[in-house]
Amino acid sequence: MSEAARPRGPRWRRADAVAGAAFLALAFGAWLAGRHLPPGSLRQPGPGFFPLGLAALLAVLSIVLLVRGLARPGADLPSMWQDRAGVRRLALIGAALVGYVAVVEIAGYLAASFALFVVMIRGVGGYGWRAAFSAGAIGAAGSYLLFARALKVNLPAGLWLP
Amino acid sequence: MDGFAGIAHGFAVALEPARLAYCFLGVVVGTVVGVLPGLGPAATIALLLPATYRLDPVSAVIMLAGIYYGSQYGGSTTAILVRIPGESSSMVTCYDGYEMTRRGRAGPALGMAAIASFVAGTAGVVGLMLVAPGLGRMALAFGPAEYASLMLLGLTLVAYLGGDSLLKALLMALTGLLLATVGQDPVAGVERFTFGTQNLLDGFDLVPVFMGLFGVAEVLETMERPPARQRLATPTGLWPTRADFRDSAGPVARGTVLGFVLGVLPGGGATIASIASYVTERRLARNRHRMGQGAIEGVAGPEAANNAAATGSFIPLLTLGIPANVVMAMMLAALTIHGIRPGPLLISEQPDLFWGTITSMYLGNVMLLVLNLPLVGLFVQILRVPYPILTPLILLLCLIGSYSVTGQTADALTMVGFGIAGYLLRKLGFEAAPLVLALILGRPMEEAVRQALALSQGSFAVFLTRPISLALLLATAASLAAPLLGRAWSPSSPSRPPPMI
Repeated sequence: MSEAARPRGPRWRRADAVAGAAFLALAFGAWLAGRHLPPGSLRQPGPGFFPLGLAALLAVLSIVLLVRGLARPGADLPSMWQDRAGVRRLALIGAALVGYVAVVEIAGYLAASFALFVVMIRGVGGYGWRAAFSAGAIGAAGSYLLFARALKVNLPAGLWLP
Repeated sequence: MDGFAGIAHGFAVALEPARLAYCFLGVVVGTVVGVLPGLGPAATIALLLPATYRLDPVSAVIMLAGIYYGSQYGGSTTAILVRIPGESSSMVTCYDGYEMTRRGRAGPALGMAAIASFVAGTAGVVGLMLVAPGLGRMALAFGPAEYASLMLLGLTLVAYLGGDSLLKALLMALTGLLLATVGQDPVAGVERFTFGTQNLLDGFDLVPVFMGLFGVAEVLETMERPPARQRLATPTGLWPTRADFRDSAGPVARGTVLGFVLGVLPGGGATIASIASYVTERRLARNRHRMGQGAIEGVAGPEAANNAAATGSFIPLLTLGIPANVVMAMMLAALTIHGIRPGPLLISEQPDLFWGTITSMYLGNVMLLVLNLPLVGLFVQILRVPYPILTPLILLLCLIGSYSVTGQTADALTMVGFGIAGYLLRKLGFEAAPLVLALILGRPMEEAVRQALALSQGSFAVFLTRPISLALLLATAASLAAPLLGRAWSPSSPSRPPPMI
């Protein structure tokens, strides 16, 4: 968390400023989505009172953070994002997760989990195909037995299984 | 039947072989449920309720109770090993617990968690026995105003959980409160922020949020480093050292008291208790400057607190028939199914049930200690698996955990979203705990405030004129003023919390 304090790059890259802007956007979005709700009054709060009030407070504090980020020298956006290998790993994990959710109901739990293991162990971990396949098989089958059989959790069966 | 005669009678009831078996079954299931993220004691009890129809009420309650306090033992295991809290009450255990794991001290962490849980659970049972009737009456005085003040006290603890930036903690807390408003308005039923979908009608489920912010974000953060730096330190030693025991004595004692009191209060519960304990130890622990970097007090205190709270939360149920939290509501359902309506007369009308349950809880704690300590060695072995192979397992657990809540991929997608957001927020210096705590407390708090104002016809004085509410608000003010006073009192004491990763 405590990165180098020397500012590098243009002002807009300061970590706090980016964070402040993001929260401000969230507050604005909340106001947009909730402005039709009746706020009621202080003595009799309506459905809109808390959401809009919170959005307002959030906006105020995020502006404080934004201004603070622009004004003071502070942590630059983490330099990690210049490490290609790290970014590639993270992107792969993110894609694997989204992909999993996308296909699990179509391909079924076993296939999707197997694929997840292979992607993670081979693609991210850098191990060989044999390690990836065997770990995938054990992992997918083992977890299936544990969750679906022993614990009776409802796992997606996929479109091509009975 | 008074105290000692009651206890004697209780042991006679609880030590019957069949009852012992159900107690054992309950605590084992509870431990497993606590370890597995995504399945909580409330859901498990709900699932097993039909199975208890054929049992007699005493056995049923003994087993279900075992599930509850057993889950408090198990929840800390994943929190310590992989930084995923099995229960919301194990959330703070993640901080120092996981740090201890990273430093090769997973064994002592797990061991101390079990021991602290045992001490607190046992003390809680003694407390139950002594204090039950009197303290139970306080629960009767709890109205919406008291509820709201209690929630506010809980929320102010947020300020201490945000690492070294109060502003960032507040931003996360506000975001959590905002997220808590998603779904149906608790008072009027109006839809808020649902964008026309069914999925968000009940608001955000805690499980996907947890899994994402704690589990996935942690995986992402670790995997970002080059493989050489992904490894955890080799585990050294399985047992807490003498210094660990000495350091933990205070936190366990304080955590037990805090937990018991907060557990009794409706809506308090194990989560607030564990957080209150952590915050307290930040101030008072012997190694407070090391909190957040693997101080054993950060494990001992909260784990004692959540077990004491679980025990304490039985009091309003057994003495007044008022459930203090969701799990107790399930218990109430179980009792009702068996034709028992708990109330002030339960102790005299159903001595088997009352005293039998209390003594079985003591026995259950012994069983759990005996069960958990040998498992420490086993769990530590799991850490030897190389992290890149452990990772897909963790992710799979998170995905299943989220998916299993409603069987909708929307929940799994929510988890992934929170995971990515959580990772980004961490890189920018934000802590997840304030958001999660605010998300948990937001809805009950809004409901309580609006109900209180409705009852008092818009007068805010109600929060100050009712004694319990006033007391809670004073405690809130005190906790906000404490850091300032601390700074004035002794300049050398750490008045700013140490930075948390």
